[in-house]
Amino acid sequence: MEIDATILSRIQFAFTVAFHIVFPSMSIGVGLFLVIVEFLYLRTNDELYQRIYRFWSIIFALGFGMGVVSGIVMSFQFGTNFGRWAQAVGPVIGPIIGMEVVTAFFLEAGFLGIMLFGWGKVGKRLHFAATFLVAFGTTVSAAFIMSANSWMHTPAGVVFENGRFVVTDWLAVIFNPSYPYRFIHMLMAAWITGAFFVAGISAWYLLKNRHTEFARKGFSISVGLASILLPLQLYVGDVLAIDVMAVHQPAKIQAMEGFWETTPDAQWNVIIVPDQKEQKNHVQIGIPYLGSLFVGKDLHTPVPGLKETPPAEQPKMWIVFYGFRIMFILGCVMFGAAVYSVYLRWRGRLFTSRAFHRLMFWLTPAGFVCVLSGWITSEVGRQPYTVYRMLRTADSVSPVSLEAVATSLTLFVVVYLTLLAAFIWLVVKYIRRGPAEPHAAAQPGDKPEAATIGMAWGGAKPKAIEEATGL
Amino acid sequence: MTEIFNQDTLPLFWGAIVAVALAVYVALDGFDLGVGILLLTAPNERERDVMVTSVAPVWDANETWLVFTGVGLFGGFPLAFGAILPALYLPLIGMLLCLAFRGTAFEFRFQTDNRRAFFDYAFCFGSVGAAFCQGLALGALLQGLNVKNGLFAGGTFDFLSPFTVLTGATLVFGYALVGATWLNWRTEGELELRTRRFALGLLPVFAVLLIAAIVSAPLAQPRIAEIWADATRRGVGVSLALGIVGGAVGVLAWRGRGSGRAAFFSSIFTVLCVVLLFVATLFPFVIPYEATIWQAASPERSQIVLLVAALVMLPIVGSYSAYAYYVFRGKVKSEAEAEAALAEAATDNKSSAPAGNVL
Repeated sequence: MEIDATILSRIQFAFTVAFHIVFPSMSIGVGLFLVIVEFLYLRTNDELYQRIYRFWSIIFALGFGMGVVSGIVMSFQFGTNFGRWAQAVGPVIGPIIGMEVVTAFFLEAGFLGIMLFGWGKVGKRLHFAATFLVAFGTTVSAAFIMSANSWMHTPAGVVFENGRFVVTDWLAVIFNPSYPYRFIHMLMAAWITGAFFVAGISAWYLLKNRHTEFARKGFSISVGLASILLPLQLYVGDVLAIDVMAVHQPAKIQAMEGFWETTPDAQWNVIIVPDQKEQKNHVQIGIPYLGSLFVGKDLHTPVPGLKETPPAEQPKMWIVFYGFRIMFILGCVMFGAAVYSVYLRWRGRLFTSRAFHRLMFWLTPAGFVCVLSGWITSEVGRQPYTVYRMLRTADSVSPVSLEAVATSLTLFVVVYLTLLAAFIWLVVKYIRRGPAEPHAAAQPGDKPEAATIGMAWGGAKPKAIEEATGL
Repeated sequence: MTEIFNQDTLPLFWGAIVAVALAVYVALDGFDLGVGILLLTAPNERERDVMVTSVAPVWDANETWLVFTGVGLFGGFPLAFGAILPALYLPLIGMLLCLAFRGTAFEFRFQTDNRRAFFDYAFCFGSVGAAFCQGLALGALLQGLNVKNGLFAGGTFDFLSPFTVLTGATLVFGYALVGATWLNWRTEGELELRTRRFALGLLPVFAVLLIAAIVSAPLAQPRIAEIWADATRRGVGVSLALGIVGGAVGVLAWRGRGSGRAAFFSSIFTVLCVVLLFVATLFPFVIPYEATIWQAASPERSQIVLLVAALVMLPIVGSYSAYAYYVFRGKVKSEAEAEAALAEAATDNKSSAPAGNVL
């Protein structure tokens, strides 16, 4: 493969969007957790919920900031590196993202300040409203962006004329065939990711026997959330792959399953070594009959092979295949953990099974891995198109020089990895320190708590102390 | 009603909204980038904390106007979006990376004590870099872009020239000015006094740079002289110039006495007029000087969706944004003062009746 501006732009986009997606996933997931926790606080007035909220809102804020700055990069990168695509799809995707900006982005940004700094400046109910609106904003954001992205996979409601897409039917554009399923799938993926993240860290405190009351409550809520969502997620994923994408993007499903020839009584491939040039697998190891079972719900249905798609239209099999396998296998492990958690809870051992806590600790980043590999499957599986069967990637890139893109790619990698290192270092440090103990006296060198910062503006009288700080 | 919105008027309406969005962005993110530019002038950590705290609850919403401007071009004038952004590749990438440092430094610096200085540097240089890159981009637009058949046809460094370096510096000092007036309005004590001096000192520097930029613009791009030969445009230009001068006079007249609020809003007014002057120079081009807003416009159905969404939502956005500024009104205290207020509230509330849930 020759190194040109096109491949570098694609690598840069892949890198920056992969980096970005991690943070909104966390924001959407931890956001839901925070809404639940603050709701319980309002209902019960139990100070424990306030402590849980205050602890996790800092991690939420750190991740949210990373999401914002990496997100701005995405909206500009459409133009800088994929200008020709932008000129063609602007009439379609522009208004969708425009709606996302004026509803979701402004809403999240507008109320984030009150959510993070408003303790003591607004009443408890208004503060909860702020938390809710920020979390709601992240969900609305997902709703719009998934519509735009899904339209690229299953375009509808447009004609292509004079080098650009013209909308003929906005409802068909927004509610394109794959949208409802991909939106629900991503939304639940984000909620599950947040749940496992909170659960894993809570499990660490349980293993260390620290902040037990705090950890148990957080663990219970997050694990409970995961156990409700995971079965639904497996179902939605199955429908999305077999009923939706197999119809609208058959090449993706063919590449995903790892067969070149259409195969009846098919195994479920686990390890393959594909050769795209020879259009065959050098190695093909799998579980007998499971392939047909997944695709057709019986033991004999033929699994379509990638040779059903002309080579010029084929995505790279090894990426789509392994992307999907990693997501699915890890997803099944997470499902198993969720089922086991229900059993443990029923037996009263949810907080005492150290083996389970160890498992959940190791699964802390599992949601992120699934999200990344799922997105790799999705986007690489759409190649060689940016808009499926209507606009090719090769015709989508900007006329910028190789040197310019090489420079920007290098800078993005260096800067993003630096920021990621700082983020991880700070979060680990913060988790190690743990939540503030109840009724603890302020120590010198204590970080300015949200309540203190809320007091930092002189405009309004401070609210009742119990409301303000929960101390 | 639908007669108002047609192929001729829609690009004007949407173009106006994008122009306003750009002006609002420059004004709002202007002062919080300005705070960042001035950050390292504070001699101690305590003052830097106060400076950052003053903009912490509002910076994200301010920066969102930049996304709105970009997406507004993307959806409303896609030909322009796809032609301009590659032409401004390096300054825009530079801006995005600087904004990444600035944005993360906000959250990160509060989580550490001994490394806070590192994040202060990231915050400050990120702010200066972002401002400078934005200025380069605006200058490059005034210079004109090498766009043929809707595609950028020029070289990687076309954007860079003595003129654009000048506009870059002008924007840095403009942001520093509004940052200084904001800090003066919102802080107390040493910080209030120092930023008062800064504001009064930055104003003449900004004025000189701005005048130099305005004077050299027709030299950098002869078409600008032709554009401004038109009488109507001259009328608009003179009004805007009066606005700029009026704002400057507002800052000078204050001369550091009384509330800094009037000075802040005067400096914001100046910046808004400068952005509108920029727009007035380029109108009707959206790809300078190759394509007009009509030539680059999206089909009607797309511009209408954008317009309706904006007209419905922006007043709502404005309301809750104003509310957020209202919640965080008043002088920003240092951490020690804030803790004292906390302690005072505790003793107050022990003796008085419970306040109840105030929404």
